[in-house]
Amino acid sequence: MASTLSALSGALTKLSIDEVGKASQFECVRAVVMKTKESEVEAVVRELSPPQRDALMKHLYNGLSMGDSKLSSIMFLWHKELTQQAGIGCIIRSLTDKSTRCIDV
Amino acid sequence: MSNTLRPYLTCVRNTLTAALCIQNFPCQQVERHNKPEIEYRTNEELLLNPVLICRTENEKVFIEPSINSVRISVKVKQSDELEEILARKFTSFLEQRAEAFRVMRRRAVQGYDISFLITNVHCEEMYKHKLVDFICQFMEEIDREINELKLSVNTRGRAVATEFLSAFT
Repeated sequence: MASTLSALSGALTKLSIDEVGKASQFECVRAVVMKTKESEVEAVVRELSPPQRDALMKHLYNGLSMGDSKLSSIMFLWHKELTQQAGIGCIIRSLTDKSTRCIDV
Repeated sequence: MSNTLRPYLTCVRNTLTAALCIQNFPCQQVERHNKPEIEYRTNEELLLNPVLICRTENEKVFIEPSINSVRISVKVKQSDELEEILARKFTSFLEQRAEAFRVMRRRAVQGYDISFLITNVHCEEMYKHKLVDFICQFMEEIDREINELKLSVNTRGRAVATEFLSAFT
């Protein structure tokens, strides 16, 4: 669990603004998210700091927009856990932050 | 597949609760006008980041928030041609009666089956949590409806064919 946390913290410390940085951070987050056990999700999310939680939420929405059903099902779990701990405000911050928006439609 | 329905709806519900934090905002271009900014899109700063929540490739919800309105587009699961036809007919039936739903859009956004437009006026007149409940319930029930329609089409087809072909045996 500690390795999961450190890997995740590294990728989430600051959401980068440029495309390449965002993509590489997302790949890291995606790998960590797929490997974490369901029972450990809550503990990992609890250890994250608020800015990291905001960054994680943005990555979750990025992942949910990809249309991969396996990835989506895991991300729903993380999303629910993160919303429970960080609140609706976390979602609102990911909706309103224009500088680091993850999807361009 | 049904084991991701509950988490999918929970995710949509939470996102909608966040996106529906809308307020009255008069039009900046024309005096005394009040327009749903998500439809007119005249000012970039009034639009929020859109969110796409995919359960699978073919089943997704696209939520576009803005300062005074939110547009929610739903793509319903359609696994074969019959379901596609049924979904099209069903959503077209609902869209013709969009006035009765108040929050429904008469034309779905390109690439989706049905769209809703919720404005600040709707949030003032109706409970926000009830609006969110409505959308989530709608998404759940439309799947069920289309399954039922498909079953009844197949049953009727089978009954008619049996009856018709029994004349030749």
